[in-house]
Amino acid sequence: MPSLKFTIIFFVFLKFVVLGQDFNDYKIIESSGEIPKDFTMFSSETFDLEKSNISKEDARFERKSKKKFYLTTSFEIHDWLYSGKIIFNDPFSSYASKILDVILQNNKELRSKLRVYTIKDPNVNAFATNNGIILVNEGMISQLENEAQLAFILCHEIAHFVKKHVINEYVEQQKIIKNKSIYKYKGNIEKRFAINRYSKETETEADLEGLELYLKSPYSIEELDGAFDLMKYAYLPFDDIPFEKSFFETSTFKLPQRLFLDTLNEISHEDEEDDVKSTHPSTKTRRDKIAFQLKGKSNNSKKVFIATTKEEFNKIRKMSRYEVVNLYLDNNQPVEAIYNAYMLLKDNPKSKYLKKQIVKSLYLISKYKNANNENQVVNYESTMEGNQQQIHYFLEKIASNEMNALAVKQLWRLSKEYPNDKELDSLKFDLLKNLVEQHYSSITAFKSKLEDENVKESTEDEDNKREGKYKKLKEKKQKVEEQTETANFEYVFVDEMQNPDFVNAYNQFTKDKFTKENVQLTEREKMKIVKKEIRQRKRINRKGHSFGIDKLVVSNPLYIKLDERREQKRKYLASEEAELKFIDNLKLNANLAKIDIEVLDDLDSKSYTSEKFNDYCYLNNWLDQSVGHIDQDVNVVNLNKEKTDALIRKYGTKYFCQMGVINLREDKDITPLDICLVVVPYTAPFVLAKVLMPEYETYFYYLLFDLESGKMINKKILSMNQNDSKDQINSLLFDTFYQFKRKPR
Amino acid sequence: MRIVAIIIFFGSYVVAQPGYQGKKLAVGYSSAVGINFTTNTYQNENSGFSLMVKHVGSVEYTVTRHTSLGFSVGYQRLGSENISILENIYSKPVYAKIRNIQPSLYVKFFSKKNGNLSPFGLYYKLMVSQNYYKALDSVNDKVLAQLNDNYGLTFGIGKTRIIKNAIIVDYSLDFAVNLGTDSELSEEGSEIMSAINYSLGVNNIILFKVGLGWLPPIR
Repeated sequence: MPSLKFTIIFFVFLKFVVLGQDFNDYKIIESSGEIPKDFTMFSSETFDLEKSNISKEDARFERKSKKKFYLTTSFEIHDWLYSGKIIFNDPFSSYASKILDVILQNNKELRSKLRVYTIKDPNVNAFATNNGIILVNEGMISQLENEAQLAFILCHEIAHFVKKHVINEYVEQQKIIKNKSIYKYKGNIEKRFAINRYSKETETEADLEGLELYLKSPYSIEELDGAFDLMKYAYLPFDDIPFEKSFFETSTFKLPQRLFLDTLNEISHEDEEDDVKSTHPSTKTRRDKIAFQLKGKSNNSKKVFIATTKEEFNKIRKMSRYEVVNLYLDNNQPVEAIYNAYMLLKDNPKSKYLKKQIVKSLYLISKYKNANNENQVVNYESTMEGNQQQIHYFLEKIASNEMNALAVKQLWRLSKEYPNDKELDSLKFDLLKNLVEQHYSSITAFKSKLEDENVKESTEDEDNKREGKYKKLKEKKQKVEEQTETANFEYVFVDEMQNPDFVNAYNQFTKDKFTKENVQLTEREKMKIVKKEIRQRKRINRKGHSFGIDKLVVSNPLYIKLDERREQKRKYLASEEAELKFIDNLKLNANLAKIDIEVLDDLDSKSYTSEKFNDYCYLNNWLDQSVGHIDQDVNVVNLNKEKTDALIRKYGTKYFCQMGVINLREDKDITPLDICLVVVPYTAPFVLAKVLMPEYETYFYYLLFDLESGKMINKKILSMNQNDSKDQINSLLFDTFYQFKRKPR
Repeated sequence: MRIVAIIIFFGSYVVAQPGYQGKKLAVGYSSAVGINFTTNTYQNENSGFSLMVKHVGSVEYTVTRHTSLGFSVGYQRLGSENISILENIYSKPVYAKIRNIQPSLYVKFFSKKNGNLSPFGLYYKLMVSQNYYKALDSVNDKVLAQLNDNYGLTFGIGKTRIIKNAIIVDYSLDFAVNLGTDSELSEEGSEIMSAINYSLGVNNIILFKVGLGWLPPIR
């Protein structure tokens, strides 16, 4: 009994923690509780389990295809579960699980086979795997209108699982690709259509089977049509609210009208009918088929909310919308993040979380614009529909100097509201420095007060005598509008100029810039610097680096074995085995180099807690994003300083590393010349050696990050024209850790 | 041992280098196999085609990321060409049976490509040797010469692999030139010395070496 009591208290507490979200200071949702078996099993174990399902009665080709399918999916799903994008025991998957309980209350056996997890993805989607995992995107939860819609979507996914659509579709595709059965002698276009046709058939079947299941459940049938609207308008944000330019404006600063569209495209309400080239039937076809099935069905005693109340549903959906804002930012889609946050702010104008997401997004856009790489973050298209078009257009059209100034303004404004926020501090100073270095080296480029105020100061008394207060204010407003329209951002910092911190910081960056530019070096001094750099480079080449790291976290070490000659390039089983050995060698060599190491890896996960799993996911996402910015030559400071600082404290180090080996067996090109030369006695041994000796390429890499600054300290990608070997990997690992550990002179 | 101590001291003083998992010292034994290019071998007269084996013991120390310094001692037994002056004395073909002890100092440069790091991977070797040899006549084992003023220079290319993180497998191809002697000799002595020098030179000209070594757990 005490355990039951504890369980009840635990779940009540969990519910409070999860649903008692403070939306002003929103905390990103992570996994919690016990790690499900799907996450802790090795892919090879899953594969062994699944391949036992292959029937010996199947044709040879089918057996082979199914084995290949199980192998690929066991590993790919595992990779996915550990991509950092999937969470478990979270409010969304718990909610979806409750709905599954309702739908399958009379089919306990089927219910026991299904698990639901959440994907941290802003797009509207859900799908099922062959082994009973149902994955629901946060983006989909954010666009739901009610619980019944989610129930229908889950019914559709259950039908996919029950009918084994995923594996059957794979086997059918293999038949088509390899010209088996009825697909012999078919042309490429016919094959393409055949694949699409089969996919559409399974989707239709899932709709109908799902509907059958849904009709047996206590959910209302009146809400079904809305589920198709969800799919139809999936490309739109969760709402369509006009974007007011006043959002970024103050009493002293107005954005020019040239940056905004006068008219916006209407949202199209037509159903697409042509689905020949698609893998899914058109929404209209699906809607019609379902409507036909529903004819004459009554909605007696059916409900819209069963697993939870409408209020709870709204809260869950609200959380998903808050999540989506962050997901867009993580996905390098800051415009979408701004628009979603903007809409949510209408309901909760005090949310620090939303305001911070907006300034972070502006920061990111400004950084990419400054690096002339804005296409990576801003993607306005004239075909866009609805009110979202306005913000996309504005952020596309605004010039990099204007964007930089605007982002600085918004950062300093918010920082004034939250003066103790260290995250905002690092962003505002970094961007201000950019503004000085790239656009406006002196603060004098900006006006510190409005022109009419100057006039006002000099002739105040006369004005007061001549005109009334209201007329004067009206004129002032008009003047502000005229000035800002023409003067382009000269007035952007009128408010900030009253803040001595802002002025001092600006002047300091100006001074630093001119000091740097004005340092006059003699030829001899320049030569000295060059020589020193060359000496340093040579020293590193000869002796390696010296970082003085005592503790290191290695996140997600990889060992991938590929065979270019095979259709299935990745050698899944060999890779898993090699990765396990690699982790052991990693620990051994770090230990020998006297470096304290912590490895966060999916293959080490049997001993994980959900907290460690969350750290693993966060770090992987963080490292991916950082590498993404580095790839685009954009120098971005740490956007999630609070979280990374917590990780630094937790692991006792600021050094995090990704490391791995990729081993590739290459495909050989045997030329006609080789065939000719093989019959010549003198050249035959060489040609035979070339033909018979396998060719390999092995890559060893590491990326070393300083989590505190958010910067990559060092990277190495070593290419070797040979097969991998334990001694070589050990030699490289020890050398790497040795360099990490060695104290700099 | 003094040389080894100097090498170790030198290595650790100049730069602390990683070695293989921190192990910088290696001791080993190798067999160098070459073709007997002389008419006679140590044991047989007119032997025809035969192989010669040189036994080498070595100690080596990693001094930089891509360099090792080593000291080795080789031992080989060789036969020379027939010596005509001695044939006149014994009235039958006579050759010199040479027992050679070859202390050497060498340096191995490990290739910077493909992630090779001393003492692992592809290397190029440069070695200077001094030959301490004793030559006996093939008829009644009378000592013909016992000298240590003969020098050799070897260039080698090889590869090392490491098993179980402790055992080194080393295989290489060595090309050597004999630098001869600078001693002034009589006419009789000159012919004997030429035969010995020729044998030392020609029989070491190309050797295929396979060795096993051990990396003591000294870090």
